[in-house]
Parts: sequence; structure tokens; C-alpha cells
Amino acid sequence: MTDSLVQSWRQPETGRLLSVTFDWSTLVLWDRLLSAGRPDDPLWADLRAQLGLFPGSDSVGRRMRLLALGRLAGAVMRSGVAGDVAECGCAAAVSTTLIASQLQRGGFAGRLHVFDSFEGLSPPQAEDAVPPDMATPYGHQSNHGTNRRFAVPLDFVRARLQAFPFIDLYQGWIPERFPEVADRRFALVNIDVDLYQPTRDALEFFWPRLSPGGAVFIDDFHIVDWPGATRAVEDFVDGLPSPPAAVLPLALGGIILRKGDA
Amino acid sequence: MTLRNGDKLSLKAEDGQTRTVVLGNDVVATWLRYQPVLLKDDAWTGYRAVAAHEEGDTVFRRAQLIPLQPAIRNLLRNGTPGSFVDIAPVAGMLALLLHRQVEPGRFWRGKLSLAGEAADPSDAPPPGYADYFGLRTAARPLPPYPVHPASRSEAGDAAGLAGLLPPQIAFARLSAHLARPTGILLPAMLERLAPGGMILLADYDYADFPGATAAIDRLLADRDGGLFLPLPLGGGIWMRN
Repeated sequence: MTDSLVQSWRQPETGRLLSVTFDWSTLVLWDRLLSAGRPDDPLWADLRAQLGLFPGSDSVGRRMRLLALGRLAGAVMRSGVAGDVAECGCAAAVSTTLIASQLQRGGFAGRLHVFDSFEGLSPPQAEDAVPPDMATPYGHQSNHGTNRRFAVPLDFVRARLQAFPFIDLYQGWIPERFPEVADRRFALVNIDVDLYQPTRDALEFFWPRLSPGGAVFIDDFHIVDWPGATRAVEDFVDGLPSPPAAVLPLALGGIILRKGDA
Repeated sequence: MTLRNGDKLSLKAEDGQTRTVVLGNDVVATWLRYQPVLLKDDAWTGYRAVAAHEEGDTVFRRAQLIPLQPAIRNLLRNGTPGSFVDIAPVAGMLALLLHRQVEPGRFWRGKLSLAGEAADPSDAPPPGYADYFGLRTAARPLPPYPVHPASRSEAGDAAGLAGLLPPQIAFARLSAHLARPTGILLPAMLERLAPGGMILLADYDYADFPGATAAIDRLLADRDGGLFLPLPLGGGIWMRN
């Protein structure tokens, strides 16, 4: 019998040994992420179904962020925040399906607006460069230069989402199609566009249109591959005349910004 | 052991099945190396102080405590009034975690006595608990946290501490372990929570404390005026509007 598993890494630049302990409770919770989840919580079944379809995009961090996003969607529904829901960057619609399932279960009466180029990512800019000292440790392989990797055909996504009649798909580079929803209010916005400029554009557009008590989830925050998204969130929050009511980054990437009353 | 991007971690569960998960860049790089850089000095310093005191730098602890630092920074930026309340059998972690950010006079800690506390049926651990993955809970007694003279400190059972709480709370951490004390203390904290304030429910989804999780579900499921978000690796945050 052991108490825990200790994993150690040697930092290539300094030679320092870093370690972290995967303790007992973590392993139990990981098992939930890996298998059955909470039997009384249908979100876990939704999550498993999605991950099973796209095993190539699966990782512990991805599971945690999807779980947090699904829970946020459910919590926003339960709290009765008024407004539509939007998603910027859907790729193969894994997160879209997860959000839509929670909305459908909660009796959502609004629209879910989904924006994507369906052609992959736009060109990165200076803010998106992975620092050189981050580029090689741990077998890291930058996602830059592989922008087509996220290109999923519109017809494929439309077919996947046909069970949710409240979804509207908008094909185009962010923020080209945003004006079409300029008169709407939003309860929840999911931003997963990886790069600085579209992340910043999405925050600038949707934050003023977010209802009191509503929330924005930015998937790429603190993800090593996408420093531009982290920078965009920091620049945006620093520039707000009034801070968000709540800022909650998650331990393995992703951040929630919640808007206060009035 | 050296982990590389894309390595797989397999664990055999108590049902005899092996589960495998991929460790991508997000775990291997973010967790071990990038995170200290990203989280800036004050955040990491507070966390390191807690980890050193508790003799453990665990994934669970990182997942629950590290996100608090930016959340608290934003709460302070908003001018949220009230005390920083920490109630647990060994209370005081909050002051150690946030000592660089919050003035000492705002800390209020309640050392919770569970002696004589009758366990609710919901506190019973799930079947197979003891042998889950062939692991068991460490039973090391935790030493008391250091106390700053400017902070206030109380001790008592759940009902006693609920009666002593400060009139207004900006942020609270509750780790009462069992259903009954959680059911007494959480409503008292919610009553005093300032607009924009937050409560970290440290026991939520923690495998050792199913009764606390059930009590929190009961109390927050239909509650208006805020939003409850369970964290992916355990713990949950109530955010008041």
C-alpha cells in the first residue's frame, strides 16, 4: 500500500528537480474523469460521449476544462441569468455539444450562436509566439504552423449539432460576423480561439453585452501553446474601467470572468 | 521518471479495469514548469508556504489553492468589504496562502472541534474506499498554522463558531468535513457574505467527505443570488452576486 505517487521532472535549463504528488484524493477524482464520474450527474455521461468520439484531442487538462465549462453552463442556467449563449471557436463541436446538452437539459429558451472560420486559425502575431525557452522541454511541440489542424468542415459540424435546433452557426473570421448579434444580450460566452487578436476581439465585443451575473470562459488561458490568449485576457481585464465581479483561473488552464450586477 | 508530451498514465481501479489518460503539454509543461512563471511571485510564494507547512506539494492542493490567488486579487481590487474567514479542524491556511495580499487584521480563523460530532449516514465513505487504487489516505497530524497577532482566532464546535462569525465576510474557506457542521456553518457564512464575496468549500467532491458534499449540494442547489462552481479536481466556489 502506498499513500501517493510522486512524479518528478528535471528542469532542463537549471537541472533542478521539480516534483508533485498525485495524492489519494486526486487519483479518485481522476478516476471519475477517466471513467464513471458521478452517477447522478448527467454531465459526466455527456463528457464521456464527446471524448470517445475524438480520442486524439483527449488529455487530462482538456477533460478538466471541458468539465468546468459544462458545469459553468449548468450553473448559469440554474441561476436564471437572462440572455443567449455564444461560442467563438468550435472546431469539431465537442465543447458546443457539451454546452448545448446542459442548456437543453435546463430548458433553455434562447439561441446558441457559434462563430468559427471552419478553416482553422488566423495567422498568429507577435503576442502569440511561444517563448524560446518554453519551446523544447518535455517534448513540447508548438502548435504554431499547423493552423489547418483545427479546420473542421462546416457540414460536419452542422450534422453533429442537428439535435439542437437552437444553434446558429456563423462562418467567418472573428470578428466579421459579430455585428449580426450586436443587439443581443448573453448569459454565457465560451472563447476558444487560441490566438491573441481573436481572443481580444471576442472579449471586447461580448463583455459589454454580457448580462449581470453572466460569465465568459476562455479555454486557452495559461495553456503553454497559446501565450497570446493569456496575454489577451490580461490586457483586457487590466483595461476594464470596472473589474469583473469574479476572476477564477483553473489550475490546468482556462479562466472564468464573471460580470457583476448592474 | 521523465514524462514527455503525450505520455500515458494508466491506473488500475478497484473494479479491476485499467484506465488510461494522455498527459499532454497542458499537464507536463503547465503544471510543473510554466505555472510558477505564469502565476507571478506573490501567488506562488503563498502557495509554497502552505505546501511547506503541510509537507506536501500535491496536485489536489495546487488545483484548489493556486486559482484562489488571482480570484482574491480581483476581489480586493473590487473593494469587497469584510473579513477573510477560515474554518477547519486545523484552521489558518488562508492567512498563510494570502499573507502577501491581505492585511493581517482582516483574517478570522475558527478552529473547529469535531469531538462528539455524530456522523450523518451521508458521511459514510463509498464501498471500496479503503482500497481505491491500492492507496490509502495519509494520516499525518497537521501542525498548527502560524498566527499573526493582528488576526482573530476562535475555537469551538460548529454552533459555537457560527455564533462568533464576524458581521461581514469578503472571503471564506470552509472545511468542516462532515454533513452536520457543514450544514450549520455554511448558512451562517452565506448570511454574512458581502456582495461580490466568495466561499471556497474545500471538502466538495473530496472522496474523504461525501457527507459534506451532500450537505453543500442540498444548501446550494436552488439558492438564488449567486453561482456555485465545482472545481474540476475537487472543492467548489460559491460566488455571491
